[in-house]
Amino acid sequence: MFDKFITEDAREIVDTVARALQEALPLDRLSRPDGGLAAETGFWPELLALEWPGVDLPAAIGGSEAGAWTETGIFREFGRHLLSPGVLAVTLAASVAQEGGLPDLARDILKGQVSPALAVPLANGWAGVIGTGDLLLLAGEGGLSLHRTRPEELATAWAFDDTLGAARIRLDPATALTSLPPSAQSRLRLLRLVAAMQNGIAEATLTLSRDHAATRQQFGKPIGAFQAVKHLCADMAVRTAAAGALLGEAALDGADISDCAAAAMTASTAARDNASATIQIFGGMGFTAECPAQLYLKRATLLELVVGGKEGLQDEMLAA
Amino acid sequence: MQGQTQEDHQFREEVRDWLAANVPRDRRPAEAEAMRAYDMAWQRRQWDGGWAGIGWPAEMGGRPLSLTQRFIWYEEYGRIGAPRPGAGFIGLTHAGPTLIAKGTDEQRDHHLKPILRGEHVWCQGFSEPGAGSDLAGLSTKGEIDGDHIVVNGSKIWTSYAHVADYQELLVRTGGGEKRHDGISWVICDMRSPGIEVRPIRTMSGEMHFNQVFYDNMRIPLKNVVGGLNNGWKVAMATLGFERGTGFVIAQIELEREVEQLIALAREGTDRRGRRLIENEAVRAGLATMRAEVRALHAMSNAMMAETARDGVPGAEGSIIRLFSAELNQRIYRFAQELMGPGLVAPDAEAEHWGLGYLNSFRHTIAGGTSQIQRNLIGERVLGLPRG
Repeated sequence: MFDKFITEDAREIVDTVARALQEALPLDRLSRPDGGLAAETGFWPELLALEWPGVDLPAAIGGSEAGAWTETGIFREFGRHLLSPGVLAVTLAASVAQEGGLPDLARDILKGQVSPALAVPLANGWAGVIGTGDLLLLAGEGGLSLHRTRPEELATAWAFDDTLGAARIRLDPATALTSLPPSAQSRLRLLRLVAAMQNGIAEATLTLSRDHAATRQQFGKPIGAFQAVKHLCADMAVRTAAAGALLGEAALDGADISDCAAAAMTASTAARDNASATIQIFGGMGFTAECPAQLYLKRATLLELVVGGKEGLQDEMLAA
Repeated sequence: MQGQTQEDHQFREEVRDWLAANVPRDRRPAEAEAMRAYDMAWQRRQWDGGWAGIGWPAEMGGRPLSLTQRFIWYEEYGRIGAPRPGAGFIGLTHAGPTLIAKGTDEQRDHHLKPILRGEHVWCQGFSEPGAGSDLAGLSTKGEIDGDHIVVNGSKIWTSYAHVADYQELLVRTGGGEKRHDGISWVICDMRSPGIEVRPIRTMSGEMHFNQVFYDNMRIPLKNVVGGLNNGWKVAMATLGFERGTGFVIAQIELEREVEQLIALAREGTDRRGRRLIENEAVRAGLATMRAEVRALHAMSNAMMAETARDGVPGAEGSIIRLFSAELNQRIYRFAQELMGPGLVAPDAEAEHWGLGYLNSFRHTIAGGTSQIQRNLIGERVLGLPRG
């Protein structure tokens, strides 16, 4: 439903992004040993030069002010093409730096001179980092904050998604470069962009499942002819439609925190459930590392945690 | 909603004012004739106010509003909690629109205005004991005898048949190679000799469900709509209307129900004396339902705007329908659990939710089961092969 109301200009930009990603970062890259984060970060200079991460950020910090619809559409493509949450960290760190009164830092981020990573608070002053970087965007219940870090401070941890890597770090709130409350505009942006990436995941897994169900033959017919499989696909379509409709609302002018939370919540559920169903529909293949379904599942799970997890989103939904 | 103009905003004000001044406040009676009278009086009031036949052509007595304005009408209608059409439902959403699309001038002249004025009650005669989801398997026979059709057989799940004046009836009048051939859509006068209506009590205790029996009942051939043996196409045209703007009312009602549940959870306490809203499971349920009713609203908004732009609703209608039916069930199931032991000997509040819970089972069955909806989505939206 998001697609039905996106403006022509925004659609053109989003289509260009989709084509470029298809060419530079096709999904099968992820089944090559060197195709994970390395391949993606190799593409980042170009991505930054094209100003995609700053597409809805102020021109004063190097953004292109193309509007929320364009940004939302682009991040949906990022989700669909399995770009790492690091790309979200770039946009959000720049957004937080700008909103928190650090325009020079915001500019450096958009120029690629700083490498931001997303982090979520753990117990006892620790934070969990997705991937790695020298600037952490900590997204927690207290709001959003930016922290400088050195690589040696990061203690590598088992990575839920081994194409991304993970680390733990002790973070002292007093050392934050800037902190924003949960009501900040950047937090709305975080919710909306996570919703967008989750929509991309929900749509991509629906397409994977549909195509597989229409072609994979067992018992002499496509498995999609069996209602047990067809109905799984129908449920995926329903979840995707619900998430897409709310994404459209979140991209409208004047969308508030509950619009964005509803979008992030519904899209996160859709992305996780669709990815899970895709693993099931692909059967044995679905359980292999080669099948992208598992990566969609892992990304959807991590993205949901970045916006506060289920409980965090529930709080937002019931705040008013 | 997308694309609303200043004119639309003024229209909304006008609708709001009229509804506030005219919506009946007294309780809908349970007894059949009194219920019919209540529903028809409300319809008559809308007619008198110039609000009958929303979306119908002016020459048929209707009010041909733009799609956006129709949507606004139903939104406000739902928001204020106006009574549903009840006994007027089939006339307004099925039979009337079918006659507009396929009826002769004589049929339209005779039937349309009485529907809008709240004078005629219509019921549906589609499903049969042997033809539910598989409607084309219907076997009620219509034999041509001179200028009449002689009907024998039975229809079931016929809401309001016991108070109806007319019925939109599907009968098998011809052989035909395919099952869809040989079906005719006819106007049946419910006072004809040879009709017997037997009530069926539903699981929620309501009595407006019926089985109808036909024993050599005679219908004049001039009552055939859209041509003899062409009834399948006529019926499919009718079913499309139901997926139009009318369901908006139900959606708004669901939104109000969820808000009501949130208010209840903020006031109420659980058996340990804790506020219900502080219970994690309750929070999870309420937050999810609040997001989902919004999603439902957003999906309908999008479909309406798309229909306004492209002229036809997409196959996505079945997605909204399935989502809506199952969401309705989740909401009332949740409400029933929230009532706790209050359900054993309910006060007015618990009675409302208990009844709603029992009635919620209807939504994934009536008008196409959720399993059929999933087939439609799989085959028509996703293009998967038929089994």
